[in-house]
Amino acid sequence: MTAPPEPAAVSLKPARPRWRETLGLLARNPTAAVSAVLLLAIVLIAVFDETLAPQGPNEISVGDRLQSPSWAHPFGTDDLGRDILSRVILGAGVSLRVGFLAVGIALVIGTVIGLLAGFYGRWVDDVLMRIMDMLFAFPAVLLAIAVLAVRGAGSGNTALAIGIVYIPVFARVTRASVLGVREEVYVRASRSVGASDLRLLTRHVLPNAAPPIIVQTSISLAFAVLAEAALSFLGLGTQPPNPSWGLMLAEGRGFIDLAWWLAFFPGMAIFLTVLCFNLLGDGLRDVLDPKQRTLMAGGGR
Amino acid sequence: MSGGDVLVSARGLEVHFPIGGGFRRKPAGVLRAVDGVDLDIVRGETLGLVGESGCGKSTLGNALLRLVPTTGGTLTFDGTDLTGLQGRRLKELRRRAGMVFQDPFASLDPRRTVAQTVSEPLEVHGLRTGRDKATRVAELLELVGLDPGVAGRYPHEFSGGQRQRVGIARALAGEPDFLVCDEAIASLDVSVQAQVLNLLRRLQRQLGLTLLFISHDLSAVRHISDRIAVMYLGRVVEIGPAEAVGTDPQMPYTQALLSAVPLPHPKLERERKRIVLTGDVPSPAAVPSGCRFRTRCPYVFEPCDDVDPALQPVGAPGQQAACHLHGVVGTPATTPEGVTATP
Repeated sequence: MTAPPEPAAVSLKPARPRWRETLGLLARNPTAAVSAVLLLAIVLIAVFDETLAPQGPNEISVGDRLQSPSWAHPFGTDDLGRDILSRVILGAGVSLRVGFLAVGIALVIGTVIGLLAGFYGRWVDDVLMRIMDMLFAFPAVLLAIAVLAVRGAGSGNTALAIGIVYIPVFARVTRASVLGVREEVYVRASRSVGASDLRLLTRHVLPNAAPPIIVQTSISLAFAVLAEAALSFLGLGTQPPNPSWGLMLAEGRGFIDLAWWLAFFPGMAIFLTVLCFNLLGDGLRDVLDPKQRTLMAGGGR
Repeated sequence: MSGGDVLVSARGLEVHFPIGGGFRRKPAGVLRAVDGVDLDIVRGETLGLVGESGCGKSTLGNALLRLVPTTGGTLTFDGTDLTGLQGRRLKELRRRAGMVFQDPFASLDPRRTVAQTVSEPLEVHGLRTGRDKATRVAELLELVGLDPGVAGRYPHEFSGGQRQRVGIARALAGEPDFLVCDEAIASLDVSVQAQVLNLLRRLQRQLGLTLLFISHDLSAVRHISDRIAVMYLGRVVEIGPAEAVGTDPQMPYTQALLSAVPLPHPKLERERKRIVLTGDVPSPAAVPSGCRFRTRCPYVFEPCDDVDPALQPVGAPGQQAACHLHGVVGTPATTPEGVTATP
């Protein structure tokens, strides 16, 4: 083929990476930005829990039982004289680990199933989505209890149980998004130059179908933290004496009229984390929507 | 046919889609998008394919690249049978045959840069890597009249005409012999249409491409094509040299199409006689028996109901039309075998 004799190589890298634009837009949404910062703080607390906690979570001091919040114990102490602040800090690690692990499991498996079902359609879609419907038809807590009954309690199994419950959610969200993207002309255009199905799925379909999945991830993290709390509350998740927000809530319930702080602070921790994940999810939804995005980017330039 | 070396050849090509149906449910009917097309595209020529919306011209273009499955007939590309082609050989076909799409706002992946889009064929076919790839992308962008400096930008930063140039660069990246332009200028501004049309013409000469130019715009097609094929309801009803089809059409449908084109000269324009067709195009799910144009044809007569007309040589050398006005040739509607009858 003849071509102009000017072999000036060009940079194949984008001038301005798209994720940086996304972050920039997110920073301009105050609610989402505050949520993101708070979540980052919670994650940091969870990572450095041992160093941050003023006391060991299981240090019993019978003389300091049921102390109300004070300078020595900002969140008070429980019926065994354990420092609630320390237990909330260490509980963050447990709650978030289970949450991220559970959503990770659901995200990976659910997205793959949704991609295949949405892209190939026909019997692949029918078979995969009917299996998802079966999974979805079980009440979530019942399904988690069944998994935990088979595999035994513990935070790893709790994550697995919650993850399995959320697989159909991700499969459905992904499939719905893929159904729209696979009809796009640019997918057919890529096929017309010889791209394989794998390439179409990974380079074109998944990136363009991703926004609702990202939003779903954020919102599911909130639900997963709640689910862990619920299962621990029922005695199926984290086992005592390990601290977990849900477990502390359950333990504090018996003292609610005597010492409100036992249940209040872990409850607030759950509330704040879940709220932040939800608000971040809302912010991401706005930022990742192409129409909104153009509007916002246009206004900023 | 008009001699020369045939690159793409279709015989009785059919693309039928089931209507409705699904898991354990039978389809409610059949949509005959392409219904028995005979077409030869000669190496190095530009063949214009015209017809109104829904006549199957885009489906035919897609079928030539195996982007939709064919349900009947034969299709060859440079001597290779395309029906049932799979894997490596299908991939090679898609390197040798490119496609330019109608809407440049939809045909470029919004999340990939111009360079990523244009270099996709190079990656898929393993043609260039590393620095060579970047050089080749720059070459291609220059070839279609774009500044190679824009390679790192995203599609939303470009105008429609520029995007269409990116689409053309992508189609040319694999060094194809054959290019299908599916309404490639229809969604562009009129001033840009001419630029892109001229670009395609220049590239066709420069690279020795064979071009299938699909359009509903007869005047654009006459401007660029060596030969013109006219489609109606899934069938090629007239084909011939652009000059002959454009000035002396032999099929009533082509005559009607041509009479709808405004003339540039005011005096001629005032005297222009319009043939206005009555009724709508029948649904491709319920194709009329016999001649498929008979429900709207002003000259309809007795054999049109029963005999499906075949293409027969009429008018200028190389011109063919499927119409009983030039002698009843074709397949009677009731019997499956091809029969030649005389009036």
